[in-house]
Amino acid sequence: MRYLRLTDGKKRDARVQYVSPSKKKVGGYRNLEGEEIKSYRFINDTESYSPQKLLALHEDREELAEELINGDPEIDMEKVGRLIDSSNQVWIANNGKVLYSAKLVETTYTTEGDVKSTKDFEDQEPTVVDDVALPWTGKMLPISAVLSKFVLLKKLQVGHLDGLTFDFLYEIAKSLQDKKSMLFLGGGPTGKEPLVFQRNGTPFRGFLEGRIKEDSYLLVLHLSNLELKVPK
Amino acid sequence: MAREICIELDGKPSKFGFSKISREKMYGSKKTVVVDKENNPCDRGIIPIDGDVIIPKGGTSTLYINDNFQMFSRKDLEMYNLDGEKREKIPGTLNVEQKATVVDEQRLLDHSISSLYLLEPSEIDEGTQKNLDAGKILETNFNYYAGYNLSNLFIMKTGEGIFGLVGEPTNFEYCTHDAGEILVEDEEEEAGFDDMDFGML
Repeated sequence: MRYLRLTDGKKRDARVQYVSPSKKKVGGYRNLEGEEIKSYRFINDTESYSPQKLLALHEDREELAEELINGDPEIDMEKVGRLIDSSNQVWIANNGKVLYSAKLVETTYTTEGDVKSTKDFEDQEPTVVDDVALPWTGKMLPISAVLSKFVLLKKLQVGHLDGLTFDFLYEIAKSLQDKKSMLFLGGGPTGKEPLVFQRNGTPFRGFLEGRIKEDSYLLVLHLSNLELKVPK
Repeated sequence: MAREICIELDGKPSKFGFSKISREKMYGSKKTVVVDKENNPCDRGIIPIDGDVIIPKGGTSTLYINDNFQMFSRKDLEMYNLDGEKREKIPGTLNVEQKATVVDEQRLLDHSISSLYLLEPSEIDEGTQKNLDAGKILETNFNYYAGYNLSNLFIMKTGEGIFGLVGEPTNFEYCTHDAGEILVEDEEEEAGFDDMDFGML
């Protein structure tokens, strides 16, 4: 369960939960005889037998070519074909050695794919945490205006934890439905920062939409990082 | 023949050419790279839990096998759902006319959007054009390639152009709060002390 702290129009905040849409359960594969078939990962190449390693071992390219014709020096006969279950991710330097301390560099590219800038990577801390309230920005945007300006990529359903937060969220949903609007939602003390749900997660702009039906409510946080326009 | 999105609204066909719009095309992109001490980019690799071998990027293959370790090609396999029923492959929808309907905003709000396309009509029916000009949203089926899942395509026009948004339903349900069985009568009574048995505490 994931939590966030939401503020209403009366500047009261409450801790509530949020969920992503449930993923479709797909089932599995069977062969033409109806037998269940599962997929597994197998080793087909190892670092010790990589092309770079082979080139480093043979200064004379002709000699390497001859070896490749006569044998299989590029295949690790002991390891290839072995099933892999769990594994750990590592970073491998040009010399084939595993890095024990990695440095991260962030490169920014233009829309044409050219390098714009390069700098040391800095962690982006989440702005959506359950002990800091997302402020009520008061920026109400008509639903049709939001739909014609932004691509609402991801959706999170905001839900109550108890009777008090039920009333809290029901009232927010009702006020949004009555105004036929969505509330612009952002992180930070003034709501101007993007919404980042996990460390180094994708930054989004948020739009809160509410609906009520009898004594039930639906409160959805729509997330967008793309405008509905033609790239220049 | 160029692939097109073909729809039919009220029995009248329309065709659209399309091009994908991404964040990279709109704003550029950022890429994080791991470098060594000399600032040379490094490759991602994996070490199996046994820890006896380093496997470079692309050093594994996924194989489909049965309990007897007999291998099968994916094209010889069929998809079944969790209830054990065979799922039929749905053909791609490009260049195949798909029925479209006018839907309300809520229908679009109830979908997570996975892809965005800029649409260029190559043939558009007058009624379809009028609907789009009036800000109406059209919905039709969409499947770029043949597969087991069919997506929904929402077509709408803004001041910038005609766009196609591919989405999957969120299937969110309204929240209710069941406070449980009411143990106390709603009617208020004058508070008395006689039924407060302190002896049983």
